[in-house]
Amino acid sequence: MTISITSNQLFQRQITLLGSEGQKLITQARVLIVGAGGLGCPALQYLSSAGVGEIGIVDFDKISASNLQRQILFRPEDVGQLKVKVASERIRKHAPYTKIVDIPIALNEDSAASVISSYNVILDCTDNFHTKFLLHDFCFQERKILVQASVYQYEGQLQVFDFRNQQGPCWRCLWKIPPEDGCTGTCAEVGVIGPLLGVMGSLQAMEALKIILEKPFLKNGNTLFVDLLTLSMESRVFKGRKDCSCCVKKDLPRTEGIQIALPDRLNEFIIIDVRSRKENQECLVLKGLAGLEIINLPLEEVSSFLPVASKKYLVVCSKGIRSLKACRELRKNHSEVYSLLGGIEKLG
Amino acid sequence: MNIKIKYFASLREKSQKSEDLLEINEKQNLSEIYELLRGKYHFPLTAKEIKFAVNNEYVEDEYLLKEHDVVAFIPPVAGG
Ligand SMILES: [Zn+2]
Repeated sequence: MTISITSNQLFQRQITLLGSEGQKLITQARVLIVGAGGLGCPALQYLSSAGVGEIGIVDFDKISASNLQRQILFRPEDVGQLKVKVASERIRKHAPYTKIVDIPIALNEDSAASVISSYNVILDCTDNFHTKFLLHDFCFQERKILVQASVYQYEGQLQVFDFRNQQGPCWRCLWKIPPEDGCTGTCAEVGVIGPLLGVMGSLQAMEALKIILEKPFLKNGNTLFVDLLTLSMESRVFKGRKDCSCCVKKDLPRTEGIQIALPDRLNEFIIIDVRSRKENQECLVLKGLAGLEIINLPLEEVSSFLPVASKKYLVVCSKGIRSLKACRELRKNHSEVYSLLGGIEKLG
Repeated sequence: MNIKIKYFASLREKSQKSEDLLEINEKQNLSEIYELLRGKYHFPLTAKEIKFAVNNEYVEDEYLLKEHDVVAFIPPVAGG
């Protein structure tokens, strides 16, 4: 694409305000937007228009008709297409000085660390607790700054977690036990008003710019409550928790090196099957391999298991999720413990 | 003793109001007050599933309330 407008012309009002040093910081910044929906779209529009050097967009979802009321980057003709694809195409035309990277995947324990690693500021524009906590924990582990927003009908909440020095208070200080998805209504269930997403996504973009420009931003341990019905904006403070699993105990979600595919020399490992005893009885694949030592150790009993220092262990379950959890627990006492990636089901 | 209650998100939706004025006795703790209101407004979440804040600070259940405190009941929110 030919660019007929110079960056000086494009960013003139901003340079007047921030100086060319400020504009340079924005040009050098790399921001990741997780979720290209109601919050992600306005954040993306403002940050790309400001000239942020690189923006990654993570989303695996497709545009549906019911999105258009609040995800105003999208048009009726886009329904059925991938959000990241449409968003990045549109933004590339709109912001010629920003490199847009499409990441059309679902963020999970295996992908999170590598996806966020090359960005400085991460915007949580997702819509469920599971992904929000996952992103939070990985931002802590990878020492990122997380700008998180959530909405409900007419209200929004904004939090920023600066984890560059792995210090709290973090979100797990507030929620010792993370809320379960389904405990509160989603936008689909209870409805949401369009301009709220514009306000909250713009606040996320603004906090990101403050971070990039090295200006003071919302501190760890603050929640900003925005209510568009009463037009109120109030901040509430929470303290760090001394026994926090994340920012104090650093019980991190690191998966690198913990998960492995079925090793060639399987007989060097003792297999720990963490499925329930009922499921264990149906263990087929591994029992078919002669000479393997298999310990049946349901997940609830893992914490009382004492590994033998000279041995190597491979923890297995059906899908590789419980085994990863067990593996992290066992690694507190022994380093040579691995989780079978994808679980027994993947073995066929 | 009189306190002000603020409702957020699903609690506001259920009670259909942002605020309430309430007279309580000194011995009532935050969960007891919440459970009382939960009975009245049929809130779906229990006291254990929400957060309490008093005068712009999140607090625990044991917090000792005083006259004119502003209590916020804050349910978890994740929409995006
Ligand atoms: Zn913490």
